[in-house]
Amino acid sequence: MSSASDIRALIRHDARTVEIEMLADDFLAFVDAFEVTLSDGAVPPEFAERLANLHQRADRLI
Amino acid sequence: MPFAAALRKSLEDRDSDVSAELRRGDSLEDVLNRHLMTVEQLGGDDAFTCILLLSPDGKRLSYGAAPTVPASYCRASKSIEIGPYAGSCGAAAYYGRPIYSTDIATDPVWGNYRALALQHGYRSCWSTPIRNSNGEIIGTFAILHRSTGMPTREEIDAIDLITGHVADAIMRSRDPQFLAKRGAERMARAPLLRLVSDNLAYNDPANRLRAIAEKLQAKAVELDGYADRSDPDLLVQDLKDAAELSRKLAAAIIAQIDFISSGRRIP
Repeated sequence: MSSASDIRALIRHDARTVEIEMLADDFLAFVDAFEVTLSDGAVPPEFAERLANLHQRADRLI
Repeated sequence: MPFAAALRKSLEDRDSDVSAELRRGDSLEDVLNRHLMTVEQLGGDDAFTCILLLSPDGKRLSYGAAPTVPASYCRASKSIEIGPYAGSCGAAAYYGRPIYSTDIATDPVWGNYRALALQHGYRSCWSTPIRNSNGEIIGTFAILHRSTGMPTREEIDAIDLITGHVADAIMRSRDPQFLAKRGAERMARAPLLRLVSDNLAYNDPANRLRAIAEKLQAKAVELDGYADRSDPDLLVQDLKDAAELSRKLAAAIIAQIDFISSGRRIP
């Protein structure tokens, strides 16, 4: 059985993993949202804007 | 309840939901679609609404939400260069004022998109710029109709009301402080959920992370493929950048899996 301090330690150690996982989820959702347009051979302007935001988050994190 | 009062109440109700929706991770498109469905339910059978968002360079519009406009119409007008003949929305963004096209068949504003609109049965379109708190144009809100006609005073007031609520939702979704707060809330919740979840994937974080890393690697290959097939003038570099980011995230996740497996402390 885990003690309260074990649980707190787990949560603290897991924080960075969670943050990277959140960013990965957002990135996958972002690509999915544009999938149809991209497969048609076009890149809408909003793609660049949202990609830049994800890049900024990644640069802060990784 | 009169239309104007009903619309005001419905939009105020929507406003109170927007922050919670964005905080739980709903996309801006989802939020705006709900706004527009609220409007269309009150607006009758002949009202097809859409929101177009202006690119950062202020030159192009792309769809932010259009819940009942046919996909074929949206695909054919997915990236509109603003200008005097770029339909009501392209012209509204270009001139910085509302453009009420009372008859698409004859209005010169529809020069570049007339055939597309008429093929889909649209005969009039009223578009208004959406502005941020600094007064800068960030998009347009439009109502398409299958009949010709000019908006009444009451309808113009309603359009102004809707545009204001839509602007608030867009600005809220882009507010850096809000985004940071949402991230912190999700981060605080997620580990606790994992500790109590019976879900096998959550009980084994390494499995879940491995699956995400595999998805990211597959996406990188797909994005490279799109870049190879795209017109060189159409921002191919963005696709290459996206593929590179996908690989970078996959590598970071694999590093986290190693950490979890070894029980080392986070650097």
